[in-house]
Amino acid sequence: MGEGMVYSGLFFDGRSATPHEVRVLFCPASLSISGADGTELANWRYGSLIRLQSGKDGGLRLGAHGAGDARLVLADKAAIKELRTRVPHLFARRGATTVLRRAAIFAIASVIIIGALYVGVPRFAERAVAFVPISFEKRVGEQIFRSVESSWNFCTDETDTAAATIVGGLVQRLLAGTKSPLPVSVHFTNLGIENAFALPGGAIVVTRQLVASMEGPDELAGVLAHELGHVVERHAMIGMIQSVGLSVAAGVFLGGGSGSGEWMVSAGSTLATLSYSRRLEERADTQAFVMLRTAGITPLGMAALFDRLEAKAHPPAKDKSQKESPTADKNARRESSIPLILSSHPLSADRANLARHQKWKLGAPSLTAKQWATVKGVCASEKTKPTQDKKTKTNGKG
Amino acid sequence: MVETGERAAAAPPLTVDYTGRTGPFIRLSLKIFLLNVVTLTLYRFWGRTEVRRLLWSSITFNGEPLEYTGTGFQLFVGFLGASVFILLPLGVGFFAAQYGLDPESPEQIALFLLLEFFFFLLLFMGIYQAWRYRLSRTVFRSLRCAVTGSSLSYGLLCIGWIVANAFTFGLLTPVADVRVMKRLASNITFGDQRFSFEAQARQLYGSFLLSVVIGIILFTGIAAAVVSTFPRDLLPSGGAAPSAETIERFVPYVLAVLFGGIVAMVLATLFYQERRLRVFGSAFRLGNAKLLLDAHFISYVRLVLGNVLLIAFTLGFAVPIAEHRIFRYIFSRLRVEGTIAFDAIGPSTGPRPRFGEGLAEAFGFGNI
Repeated sequence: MGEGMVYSGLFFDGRSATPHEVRVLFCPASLSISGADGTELANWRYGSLIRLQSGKDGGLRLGAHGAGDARLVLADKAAIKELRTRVPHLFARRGATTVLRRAAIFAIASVIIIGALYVGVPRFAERAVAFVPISFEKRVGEQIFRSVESSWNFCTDETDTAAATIVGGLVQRLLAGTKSPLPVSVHFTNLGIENAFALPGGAIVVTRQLVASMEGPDELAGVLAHELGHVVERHAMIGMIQSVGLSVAAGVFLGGGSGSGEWMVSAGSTLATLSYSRRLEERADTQAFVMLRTAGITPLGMAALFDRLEAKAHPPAKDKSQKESPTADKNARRESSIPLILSSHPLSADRANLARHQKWKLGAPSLTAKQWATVKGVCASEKTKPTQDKKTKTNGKG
Repeated sequence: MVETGERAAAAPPLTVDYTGRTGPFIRLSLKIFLLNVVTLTLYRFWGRTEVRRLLWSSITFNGEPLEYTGTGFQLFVGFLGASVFILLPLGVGFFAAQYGLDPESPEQIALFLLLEFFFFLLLFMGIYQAWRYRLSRTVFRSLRCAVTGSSLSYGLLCIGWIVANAFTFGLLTPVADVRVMKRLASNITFGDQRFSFEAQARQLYGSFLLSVVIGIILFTGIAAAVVSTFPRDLLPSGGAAPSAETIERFVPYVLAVLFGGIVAMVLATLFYQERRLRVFGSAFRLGNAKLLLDAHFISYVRLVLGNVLLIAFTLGFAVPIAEHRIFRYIFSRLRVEGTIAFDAIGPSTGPRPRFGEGLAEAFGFGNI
């Protein structure tokens, strides 16, 4: 009969497990719950009501925000009907729209978090490296070196030591204007690929295959300058902090053991790592140009190296003048099939152009002909891998 | 029907029931899976909460359902806190120990041992805290449960028993299991009434030894079967040391023995597991009331194997369904002897953590 209807219900007040038979009154804005003697036990605003799962006893179970664990059980069908009219939101089915909305919120939140990681972790790594003591980085480098020593064929006979000394001199010349935080050492290895890299701690590794592919000492100077750029800015350590940071972030995000999202986050972090490593490579190139200029060595050697890499990656239609070795073909195919976003290095063509546009002045030659010959003979005693030696022609540019 | 006030004393015994049906759990599993994919598993805290709400409310005492009052947000915050303030420093510690100290030096070994100790301590503390959260959000007739006691001392207890058990080649397992469970169970309260846990290790030793013996027999049987398929030339022929290639050919046989052996031992432990479930499930007392669990070996094995297959073949998607099967198994076989004087139980004063389960989730134990 409208307002003023009193229904019976069962009330649990949260202070004991005893159910109380109560009178329930639907007031204009709230539900009033009173005991048999008329004292009000609780007053719950309609907006604060929560509907809970019913049990087999069939009653509608209600709680309220702010009322703790107190519960009201209504079995009276008329009471339930009145409740439905006054508080429809309690009976609204959680439709697909609510689920979709929730999913959208979560999805957006995830994207934002991942974006923040993509941008934030590399920046953090750059700042954090300043707090990593040099002694720690040296130790890390030593450990890595020791762990690859057996599987990588380092060249250590007399010619190689002589070559290393010569190269050491070139390194000192390149470092003349810059202060390196780490002690630099150069090592040659027979790895079967043309490459050079800087390890944490200051060790630079150059493969025999890369040396063999070079056409003059200026190219070597360019490669060394580039690797020195990595060493001077401690890029190897930054890279390590970054991958640790990303895996920690992924671990925090995913928690322990839940398979479905892991691959996505690891894919994302790989992309982030690669994009950041492109940035570091660009910075190493910049450092290299400065070092070459200060040392009076032309950057055109570097440009020639990049040109060659580019030619291998995108070979001109009919180029029969150079006999391509099977390994070089494989390397070329590998580079050409990698789109930029997946590559760890900027495009060779771009790097070559940048090198060519640098200002330079000519000082003493990077290496004398005799020194160059010694260096070219590095790793002669190691078992030769499939790559054929390129014919050495001294580059007219010096 | 619910009895009130004075009539409670003469009330018939409390009936325990499980009213959950598989259909809603299948639907919930699907929904959670999809949302997890879309949110890169960020949704998992809310999904877990929904599963618990459905599980808890399927348990009824005299037709009145249990309630789970936790929220996904509380789980999420708990997880963040544990990850950032505990796991992260621990991870940094491991990293620093790995690279910052000379390898194999006494300092590095000592630091690693210390960090491992903390790792396990935090793991067990996390388990205790997870139960504390879950039970503090378990409500019946407007009264909540709680877990008192210190998670630190629980963690130390677990580590102590693991070490002691290791020194006795695992023969202390029943004792360790009882002691550890008792520590948790006797700290559980409903309202202001504490549960007691009356189980003895000697109730478990029979089935434990049975499991060990059967495990050994099965393992030996499998090893013998594999060895009997050795090609003649692999058998040792006195004198010469085996070459690297010979050793390599042994590998698939060794793997077969290991794999078969592990399967055998897991099957053998089912005897012990079932007995332990039955004994533990029948050890809880609240006031004058005893809870009793009528578990049986065959039905238990069906439960376990069913769940293993379910989870393996759905790659984890069906975990809520497996939990539903476990809850159904336990709560449809649980009965109460004696009466619980509900009128005499007052509100809980036990700990009610604001955020939950961080450590457990961070270690990957958030599931249930």
